[in-house]
Amino acid sequence: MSPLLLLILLPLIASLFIAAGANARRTALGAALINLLAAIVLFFRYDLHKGGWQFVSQWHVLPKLGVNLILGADGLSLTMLLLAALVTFSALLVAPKIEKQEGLYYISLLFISAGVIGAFASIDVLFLYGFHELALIPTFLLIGIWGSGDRQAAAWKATIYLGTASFVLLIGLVALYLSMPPDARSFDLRQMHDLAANTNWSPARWIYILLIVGFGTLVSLFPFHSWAAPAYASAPAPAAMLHAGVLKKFGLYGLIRIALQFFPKEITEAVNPFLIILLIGNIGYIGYVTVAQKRLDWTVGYSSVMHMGYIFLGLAAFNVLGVNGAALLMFAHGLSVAAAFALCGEIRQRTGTLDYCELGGLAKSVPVLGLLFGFVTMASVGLPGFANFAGEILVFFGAALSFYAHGDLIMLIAIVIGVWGVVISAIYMLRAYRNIFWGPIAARWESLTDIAPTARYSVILLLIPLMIAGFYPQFILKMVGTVLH
Amino acid sequence: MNISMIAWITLLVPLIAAALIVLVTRTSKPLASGLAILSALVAFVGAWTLFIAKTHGDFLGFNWINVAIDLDHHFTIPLGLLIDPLSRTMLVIVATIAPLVFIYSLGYMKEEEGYWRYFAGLALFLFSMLGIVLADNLVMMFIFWELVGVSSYILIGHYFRKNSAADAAKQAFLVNRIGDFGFMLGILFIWLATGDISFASLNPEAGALQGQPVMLAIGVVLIFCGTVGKSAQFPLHVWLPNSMEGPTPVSSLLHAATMVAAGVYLLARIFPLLAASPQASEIVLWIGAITALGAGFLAIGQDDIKGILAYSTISQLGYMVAGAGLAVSAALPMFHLFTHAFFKCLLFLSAGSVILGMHHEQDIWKMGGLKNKMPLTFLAYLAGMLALSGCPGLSGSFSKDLIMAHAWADHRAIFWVLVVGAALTPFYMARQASVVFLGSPRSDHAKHAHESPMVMVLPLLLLAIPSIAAGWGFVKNIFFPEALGSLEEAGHLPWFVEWIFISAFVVGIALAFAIYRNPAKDPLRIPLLANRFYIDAFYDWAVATIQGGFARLCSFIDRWFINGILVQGSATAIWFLGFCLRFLQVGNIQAYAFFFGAGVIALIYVLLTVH
Amino acid sequence: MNTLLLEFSVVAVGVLLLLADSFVDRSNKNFISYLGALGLGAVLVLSFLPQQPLLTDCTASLFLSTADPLSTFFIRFILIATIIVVLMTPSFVPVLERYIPAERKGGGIAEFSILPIFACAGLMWMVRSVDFIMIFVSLELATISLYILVTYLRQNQASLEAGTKYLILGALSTGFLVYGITWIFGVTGTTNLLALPDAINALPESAHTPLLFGIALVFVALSFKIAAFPFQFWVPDVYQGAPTPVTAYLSVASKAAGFVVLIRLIEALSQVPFLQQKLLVLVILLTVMTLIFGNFAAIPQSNMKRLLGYSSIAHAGYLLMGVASLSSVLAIPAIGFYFAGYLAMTLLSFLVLLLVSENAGGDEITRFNGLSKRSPLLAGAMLLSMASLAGIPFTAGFVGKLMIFGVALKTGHFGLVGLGCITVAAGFYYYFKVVRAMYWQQPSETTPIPVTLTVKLLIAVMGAAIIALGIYPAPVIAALR
Repeated sequence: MSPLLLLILLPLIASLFIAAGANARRTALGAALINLLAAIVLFFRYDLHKGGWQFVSQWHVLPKLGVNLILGADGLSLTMLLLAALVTFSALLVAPKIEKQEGLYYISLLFISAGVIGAFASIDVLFLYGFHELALIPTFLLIGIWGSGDRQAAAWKATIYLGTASFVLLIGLVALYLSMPPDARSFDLRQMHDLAANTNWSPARWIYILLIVGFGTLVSLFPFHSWAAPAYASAPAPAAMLHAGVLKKFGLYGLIRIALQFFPKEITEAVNPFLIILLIGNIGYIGYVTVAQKRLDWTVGYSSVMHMGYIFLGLAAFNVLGVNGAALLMFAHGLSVAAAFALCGEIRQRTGTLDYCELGGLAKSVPVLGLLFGFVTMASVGLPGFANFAGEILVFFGAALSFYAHGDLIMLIAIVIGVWGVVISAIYMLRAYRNIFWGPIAARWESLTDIAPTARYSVILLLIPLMIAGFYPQFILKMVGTVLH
Repeated sequence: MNISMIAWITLLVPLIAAALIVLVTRTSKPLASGLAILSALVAFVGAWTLFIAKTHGDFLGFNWINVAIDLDHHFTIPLGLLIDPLSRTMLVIVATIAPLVFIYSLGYMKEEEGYWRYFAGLALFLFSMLGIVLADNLVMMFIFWELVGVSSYILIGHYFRKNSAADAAKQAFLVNRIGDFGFMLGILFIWLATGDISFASLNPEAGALQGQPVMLAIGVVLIFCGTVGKSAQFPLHVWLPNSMEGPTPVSSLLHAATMVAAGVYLLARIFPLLAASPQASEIVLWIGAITALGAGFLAIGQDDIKGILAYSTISQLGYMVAGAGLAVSAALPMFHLFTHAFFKCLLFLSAGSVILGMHHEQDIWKMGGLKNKMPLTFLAYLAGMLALSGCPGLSGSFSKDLIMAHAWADHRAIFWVLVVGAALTPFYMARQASVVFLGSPRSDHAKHAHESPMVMVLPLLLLAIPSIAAGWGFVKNIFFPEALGSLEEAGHLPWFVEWIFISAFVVGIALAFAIYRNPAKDPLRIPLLANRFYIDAFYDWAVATIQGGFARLCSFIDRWFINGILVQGSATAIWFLGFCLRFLQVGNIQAYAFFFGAGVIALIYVLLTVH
Repeated sequence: MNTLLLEFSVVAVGVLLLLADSFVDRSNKNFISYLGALGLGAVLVLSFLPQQPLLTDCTASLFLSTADPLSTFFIRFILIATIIVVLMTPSFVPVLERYIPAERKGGGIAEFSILPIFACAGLMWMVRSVDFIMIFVSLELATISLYILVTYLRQNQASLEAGTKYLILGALSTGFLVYGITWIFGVTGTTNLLALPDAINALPESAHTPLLFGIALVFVALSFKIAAFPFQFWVPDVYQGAPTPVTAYLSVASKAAGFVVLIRLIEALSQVPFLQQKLLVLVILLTVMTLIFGNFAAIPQSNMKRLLGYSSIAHAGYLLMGVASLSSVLAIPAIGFYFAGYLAMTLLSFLVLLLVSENAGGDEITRFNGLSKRSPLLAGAMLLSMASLAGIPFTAGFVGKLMIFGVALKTGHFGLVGLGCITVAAGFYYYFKVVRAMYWQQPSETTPIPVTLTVKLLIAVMGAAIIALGIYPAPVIAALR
């Protein structure tokens, strides 16, 4: 019995129990806790000296066509699995009391969790893709039923947008598969690797573009980002945490695993400038869109779109530094944005609004919530001590190195705008903090109850690894480094 | 216990204290303050041990980041402590003033809320500042640079329920971020050019900088942006006066003595590069001089007792930066930093004592005649004020005059700019002194003012000593060994230069006492100065209009073009197509039969025609 | 055993049931349908015995029929579809009783579950015929029983209207079929698909035009059967009017039979050099039009049955994409697999629709509002089948689309694939409309919907099939390689 398979099945089994009428919250939390412990154990059980794929196990599906359910993990996937398990547990922990259809609520969350875990644990590209899609309908239900604001429109847009994007992506993957020599066709990442290394297999450029667009849309790469902010703004906190924190990283994971690895240099270099232009759009343009937001949920939603720009910058650098930085940033951003959405939900529960004009001075009535949000703010403006900073700086060094190597102007522009982006994110995050928690407090907010222990612990649970990885980034870097050797 | 151990303890104890205060002792005032002060004392002892031990050395802690680029190349960002004359002297300055301010805060903050928050912030600041001092490479310094920024953010925003304080904290952080933007780019630039980020191996001849004056200049100027932000040089000086919203001890420690000096320290650190690049040092020089003069003028226009000191700080920092820009030796700016730290800290603390005595009244035009009410404070203040004004024989004069002397030797124009600034200094200080302490009380608060508790006055008196003596020869020789850089007089100066300095002092102070002999209100009120040259107003306008406008434009495009037209538009188009297609489904059989027949013909046509 | 034995035994089952009907007591009509299901099940078992063609040298024989994998697969397919439909009929009895005047209680109900069995026999026959005459006869056998079934609710306006439309257009298409066959026979002198290629190759250039004319007419008839544009107009109206089980049967079984014949015809004709290009263009055109119409016209629909009608047109489009890629070895497995999944998800959705519309008294999508609260089981089943129809991974629908698009890419139909992406997006839209109704909206009444054991069983089986095929498609694909 493969531990990874267990990791995937546990949430599904738990949701079966819930469907059968078990106590939804307890069952879900139990499963998530076991998963978290298991993920931690696996993370530390990974043999760094051996490197490569470990915990591999395989079940035949269509062996003739090179499609099999192959589970396995290397440093990068284990990091992502750890992230997924952490965010899942904390998301379930922070979930408020549900009046209507509690079972469905937790089942949906568990399905998302199972989906991302499966995606990060699959070596077979087709299953990697398929598991990710498990989250589509649960997200649709979560936003549509328990969301807030203009939830139905947001859910519609996100679902159809992402569904279509994933289908484009699927076409890209199939095309990639068909571009292999007929006798060696396989969706197995390892075999694809050998193929790229040992044969003169070179997929066409349009496939690369298809993959960039497909994966990119899932990561809300500019200009394919319109689904993200509204969906996150109106999603219930746990859904937003899982989606923005973990699910979104799938696209980047896919890019690192597939787009970056199997395409000849000339293609990637030819397409790179365009990718860089798009990511400049993410950092610079979306950055200022974020500045213009007037509500916390939209600010955080857009900021999560903007921060993807840094990760893309790391990928576009196409060197070890950049990709390591990007991977570290994936981990860091996953945790920090999840914490941000958790606290968003907490504030909304108390005040019923996230509008900057209406809020203010909350630090007096809810000091602990304020303190935690302060930490999250500092994390997302990339303050040293949080992993975000380490990731960003590594990305910048990587980008600088690639500029040094190729001397292409666009990369220089990207670096300058990227570093300026750190200022932009400080602008909107500090404004959010100042407008919500500082300043004179309105009478009606005087008597708010401070954050509940469960929610507090769930946020702290996210902050601790964030700071560990901030003080000692090697803790993540030496794991994600394995993907490139 | 070996040196590196001591160094690490010195650095880390304040951090531990800060963490403990936040996690454990939030409830108990004495524990919170006790921990903070204890950590400051540990740092104090550690710093002096290191100073006396006189060891040089670069003590690597661990590789914070270590990425294998290929089999034999590793990219590493180490965290290590660089102990050399420069860091040792700076260490002593920081670690000596800090405990005094911490203790002083006991009295000053007694009645305040958020006690633990305050002391946690102080401890965190001390940790970050020590980190800057001990950092052995650019990235590590940047890390602590940012941490200093955030601790200052926390402390300025201590009275976060006042809008002014909240805004000031935010502004301070953001303005510093703008400076750090350049700093970061500079780090990347230097790294690309030289392939190294450690201070030990900074070398204008390294790598791509070899024979590339322009490249070198770009790199240095980019890093200098960090200084401009942190040391509140023009045009990023606006945050420092506003930061006076913070508690006065904070203003004295962070925004006068140590943190703002970090920028100068940075220049001293990269001095080899700076000195090697005439273009860069020219820019640094002018920025410093302009700041020194402009801030001097603005100090005259202020009514807030702390505001005056704030601008005087900016002005003095201008001298230091200019001193660095003269590219004579790293010791030149450091020497003024050294003396300035003591008397400026002293001035702020005595101002704080006055404010407390005045029941938190800060407008000097509500004060007056305080010298009898708070004699000790007055004495301490006097020492600091004279030292700052450059009274011959007191610390300030030595360091400031030395900078100007070198300016005379190397750069005549700058010299005159600085001299005017030097005349302004005694003028605004004497103005403050006479309005606050002399004359007759201008308000009830002033009438019933009282001397502050001993726990506050003692630090004042202790600080008075170095304020007077810090510039004397033997002190100088202790703290500025040759290794740090020469503090020789600039060649042979003509006899009258010395007299220019003295006359500047005398003229300034005399004018001030002449004009400000116990007036009821400000006799010369100059709107331009009172309104800070309208720079702040301009920035506010720019942020609101230009940045805000641009943001709104982006948001509009996103909302209506990308989301509206591209996304919703295509969706609507498809829906409409379906809507139209539905009309083919008329429902009556004749129509269907007709379509059927049309289809038949189409099929036949296709089959027959296609080849 | 003999190939045609299966068909004959199905007919036998039908006849026996007709007899049985007059002996069992009227109170319990479901007995008949269970009996029928049982009989067909037995035939299904028989179909797993080894088979060989009836006559070895059969180019002359009218009874020519093959037992190739394709036919065997689809015979089982049709049997299974029929069994499920027959098992659906008991749930439909209340409607029957409402709309057919029963001079004697429960009259004319058993026939409703018996007629599909005769249609089944016809379709099975059709699936394995390789001779135009056989195709025509079997097709008639199937269609005539379907005519009756469509109009079965004779007191119901909609049912009658649907029946009329189906009858007239159906007759029209059959006419074209016969006419086309005669032209082809006239030119080549054979009605045998296997003999056709050589016969055509032997033809002089001058004979091509009449031949093409004939082929075109045959294509018309088949396009009507599989509901390809522009011969699909009957579908929405007929689907909406016909009794739900019949609609389900139409959309699955008879469509499949049509596709099998189409495949056989194209495979035969593609051996003729000068026809290949023509046929390819023709099929691609049909695919494009069908995809666009089926998917886009479905978007504004508000009636569930109509929606499923359009969706069946849409899926015909995807299947045609597979037909257009027949040059790839995986094309037939892809089509077969697609049908396998299509059977499960379509019949499942029709089953749920049947129960819901019966309980809520209408077919509009709004009737599904808040179904998740009224009956989580039905809602879940519908969710599953919608997901599968939309093509979400780990459902049969996904693997089907994957394979279809795979072979299309392999054959180089990039344009079709691109269009496919858009239509899939449209599909997400209209399938999720149902999910939205079931899960987002509030129910008008909250009384739970009763579900019989049989239905629960059917749901379980089909749901399991959808997921099983989605995770482990190997067996089905192997059956057709």
